[in-house]
Amino acid sequence: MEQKSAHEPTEQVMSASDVWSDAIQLAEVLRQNLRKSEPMVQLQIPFSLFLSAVEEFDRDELVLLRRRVEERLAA
Amino acid sequence: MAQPPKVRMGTYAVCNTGPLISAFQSDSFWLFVQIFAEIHISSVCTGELIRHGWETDVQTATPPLVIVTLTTNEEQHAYTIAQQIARHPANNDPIIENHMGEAQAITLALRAEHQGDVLLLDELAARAVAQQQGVKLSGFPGVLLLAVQTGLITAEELKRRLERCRQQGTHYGSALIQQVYEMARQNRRQ
Repeated sequence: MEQKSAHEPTEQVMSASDVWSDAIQLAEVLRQNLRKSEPMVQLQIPFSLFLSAVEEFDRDELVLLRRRVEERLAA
Repeated sequence: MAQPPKVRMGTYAVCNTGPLISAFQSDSFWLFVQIFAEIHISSVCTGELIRHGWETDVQTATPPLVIVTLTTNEEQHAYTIAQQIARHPANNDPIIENHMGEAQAITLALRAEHQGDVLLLDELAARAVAQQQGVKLSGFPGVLLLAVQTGLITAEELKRRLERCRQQGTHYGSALIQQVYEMARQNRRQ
């Protein structure tokens, strides 16, 4: 039977506030990676619904949308 | 015949010794597997795990646990990181060699292939050095908090798991555990 022990039991660890930040950062990393690997589907929706969805976009999504619109307008 | 290129799916974690021991102590490795596609550890961290008696658990967890050997250049870089950790005011141990596990984990997380991944690291001084290098990180309690927020475990289970780690000598104090439990229960920062 192996004798099991902890690692560096006297070292200082993160605070509760750090733990909250860790969970937020981890969720964000997972969300970004999911978005990268997420398959895309074409969906027919009313234009008004699309415009209301734009209101919920974050800055990165708005920048991506603007780039796409500018590419289409320049074509 | 040449192997086809490996297709990368999901988020990988580079893990230091401490958070992996916490996962083993609290039977939480399955949560790592739920959240991360692979968990990478350095050879120095593997040696630490064996010295702490977790060899069988490491073998059972491989894969998705993957042991990675650093290049000579990376080992040199890790030594400079270990020096920074040893000098950090939040650190209690001035011996550089004793920080090679954390330093190798940080160096591994700095690889381009891990740019979109996360480093699991609990020690305050090493976390500060990792953050200076721009590494995205979480401690073991942060992984448990995310597991509560995504419905994998309850807030009570989070508390039980951290208590089990503490009872086995891991450095999570009672006050920290209670604060993290309250955050998990109320889903807001304390």
